[in-house]
Amino acid sequence: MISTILVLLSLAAILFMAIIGTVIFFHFKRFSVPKDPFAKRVLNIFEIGSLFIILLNFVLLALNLLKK
Amino acid sequence: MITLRPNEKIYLIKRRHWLILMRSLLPEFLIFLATIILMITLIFIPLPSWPNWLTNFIPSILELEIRYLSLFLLSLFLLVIWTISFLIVTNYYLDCWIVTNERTIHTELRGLFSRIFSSINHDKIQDITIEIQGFFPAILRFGDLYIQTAGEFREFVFRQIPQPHKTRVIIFKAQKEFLKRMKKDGVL
Repeated sequence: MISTILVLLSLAAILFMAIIGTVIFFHFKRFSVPKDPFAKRVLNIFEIGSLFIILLNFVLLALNLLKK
Repeated sequence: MITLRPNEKIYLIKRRHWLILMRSLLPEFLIFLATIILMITLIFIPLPSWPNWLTNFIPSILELEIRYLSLFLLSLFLLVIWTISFLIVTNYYLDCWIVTNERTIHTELRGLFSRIFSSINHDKIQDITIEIQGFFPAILRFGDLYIQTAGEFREFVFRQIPQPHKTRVIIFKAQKEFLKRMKKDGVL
């Protein structure tokens, strides 16, 4: 039961990030200035940071489930 | 991507001063930092066992370790804060003013799904005024720049931009060039 809640919580946070992330990418693709090198850099930072936190989240979820 | 007209060249891209971004990001940054510090602290400090009221309420919580569960919940919180921070950065980054050789463009993100895009040709510009108000704007030289126009937009405002005086000079120069070109082409 508690494991299911943890997995659902994790999925909800990732879904939230994915929706907002898609909106951010959409806005950058649609409305950024032509040939703007910084736009790509900003998106890269967002992407790498998000992946890192999601990975951390998975590791901690796995630790919780394994330590049961 | 904002589409420019054929032969349109960008002279200047202006966003609000970086201090405005820092001010908006400060609460998120402090919360993010505090969460990371808390997570690191949680790894090293000895933690008490689950409180009785909680184990009575959710008995299955005893299966989990308090340390790992706290770290997991904090990492979820970190993800939410990170995402919100980037929404703020996106809002700042895509709210910009572009001066080209033909017109001045303003794009602004209002909420998640609403966007304002406006532009005025340089021949519509009547006057430009600058307003610098407050201690930090005066010290760091940023402020509002108002373009009075003859068109349907009575005023076009660059908000909290750095170096508004330089921007005014560039807009006037672009306007002069644009009018010269229009005269040459026989439009004026």
